[in-house]
Amino acid sequence: MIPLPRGLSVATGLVASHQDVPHFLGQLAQRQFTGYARFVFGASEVLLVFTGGKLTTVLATRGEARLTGLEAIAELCQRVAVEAGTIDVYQLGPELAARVSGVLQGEYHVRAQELKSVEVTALVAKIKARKLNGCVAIYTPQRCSLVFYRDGVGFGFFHDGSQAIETGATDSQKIAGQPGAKMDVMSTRPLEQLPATDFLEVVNVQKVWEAAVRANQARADELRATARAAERQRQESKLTELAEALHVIAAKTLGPMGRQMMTKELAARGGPGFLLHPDQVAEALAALEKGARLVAGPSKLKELTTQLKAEIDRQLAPPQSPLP
Amino acid sequence: MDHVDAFDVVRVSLWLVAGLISLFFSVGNARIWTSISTGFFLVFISEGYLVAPWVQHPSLIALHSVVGTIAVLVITHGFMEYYVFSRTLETGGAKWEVYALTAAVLAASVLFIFINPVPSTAAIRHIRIIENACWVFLVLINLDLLRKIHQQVRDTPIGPGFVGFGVVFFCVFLWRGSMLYLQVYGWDEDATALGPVAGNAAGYPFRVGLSENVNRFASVLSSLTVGGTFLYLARLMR
Repeated sequence: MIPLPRGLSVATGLVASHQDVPHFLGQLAQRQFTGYARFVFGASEVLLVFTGGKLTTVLATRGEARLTGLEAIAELCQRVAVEAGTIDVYQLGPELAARVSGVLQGEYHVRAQELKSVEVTALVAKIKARKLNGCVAIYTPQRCSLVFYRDGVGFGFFHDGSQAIETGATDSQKIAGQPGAKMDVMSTRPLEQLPATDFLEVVNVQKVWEAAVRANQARADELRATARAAERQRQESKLTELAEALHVIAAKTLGPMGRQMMTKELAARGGPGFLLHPDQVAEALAALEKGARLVAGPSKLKELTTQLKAEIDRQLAPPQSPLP
Repeated sequence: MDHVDAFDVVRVSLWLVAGLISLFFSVGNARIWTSISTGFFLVFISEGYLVAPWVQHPSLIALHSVVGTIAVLVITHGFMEYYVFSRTLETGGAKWEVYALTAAVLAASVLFIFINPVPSTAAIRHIRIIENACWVFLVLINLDLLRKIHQQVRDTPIGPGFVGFGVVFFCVFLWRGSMLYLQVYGWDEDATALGPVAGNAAGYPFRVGLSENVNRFASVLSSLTVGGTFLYLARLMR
């Protein structure tokens, strides 16, 4: 895995097999996204860097193998079509995004070196002597920090959560002090020499995606069926949780009888599935209110139905778009 | 009007207030309350004979007692429905059905009274005994129903209101039970007037005096507790 700090988290842990790759990339482009997306699969990963909605860098890695550009996009489509994976999206400032592009296109001098075996003073002296243009990545499995160098002199840092280049070294020092911390040293091209290609313009991602899906239809169907089943299960578990929350609200206002009334309304409508249909929810609340009128007054009932509606709306609210 | 004493006027007035409060409570509330409220309003109608100018007519005296019997039947029906609701959470019916059915039963009672001979003093006494017997036994059933209803609804906003109804029925039990006691032993005014069925009231002055006083004051307490309970319910159901 290529070590990169996280940036400002936009979406994490998205299920890759739920995504239509051209649509996903198109959304990032449409929203003028600046930052990077990381697709992680079983044995590989794909990193995509966007600047103002332009896909400037694509890098796919599998072990030591590295693919870029069209090949990397084809690899991405292939992996999403056949393999389970996750997506994390982080927003960065334009300069930092450009620096990350540089890092992904850079050349390694030292890779995965245990920090405890490194003589730091000597290393810094060496970087200075060679007038390194590039960066040093310091990382553990959980955290990462980049130190950028120009002509052998450190000029900024990229820590977890940053959107712009920072000057404080605290995070880097903390990571360096952790057991098992490692480092990479790489040289990068100056920003002005980085290619300004927008891969979304030069590559027909839709065609690449369709070809990947066609080639892996059976596997893709299976993946989607699994995803649908997982989604169904998630929905059922969410509805069960919601039903319990509604029972608790009813019991709070009407005691055990409120809980019984809620159970009756749920049973009468074949379980909590009806909560997904607003018209049936309105009917159920009206029926509940009709019965509850025998044990509580209008103000309590209004309060109860308001709370029930709010809980249903809160728990069943459509998820926010994962993208900026 | 020479038969009307001030105490009766107060008593009937208090029943009027209690009946109106119970009727107003049922307006805007669930259908099951209609039966209970209508029943308590009918108690006022049945007590009205005490101050009604036409009280001397035996058919109307009998009719008032019949209305009193219908009152406790309607109230009991209401509480039975509430009990069924508290166990099954099922509700049904409409308010107009309660009013229509009560009106039909009243009409049938009027018809029954007027197609039969004018009731004698003995017949009126029998009707009054039936009325009080119905009240006493149905009050006991209602107390048991209230206990069971309270177990079901005690954690709801209306829960404490059913304790109020328990007090109401306790007062009603004293009121109707004391009169039934007097009637059974022939110590009531009607028995004295009839002569042959009169008991030896003079031989038991304490029991007779106590029962008469309990009857008068429990009637007033009943009306006060009915009005108070419905006001309390209205407060709980705001």
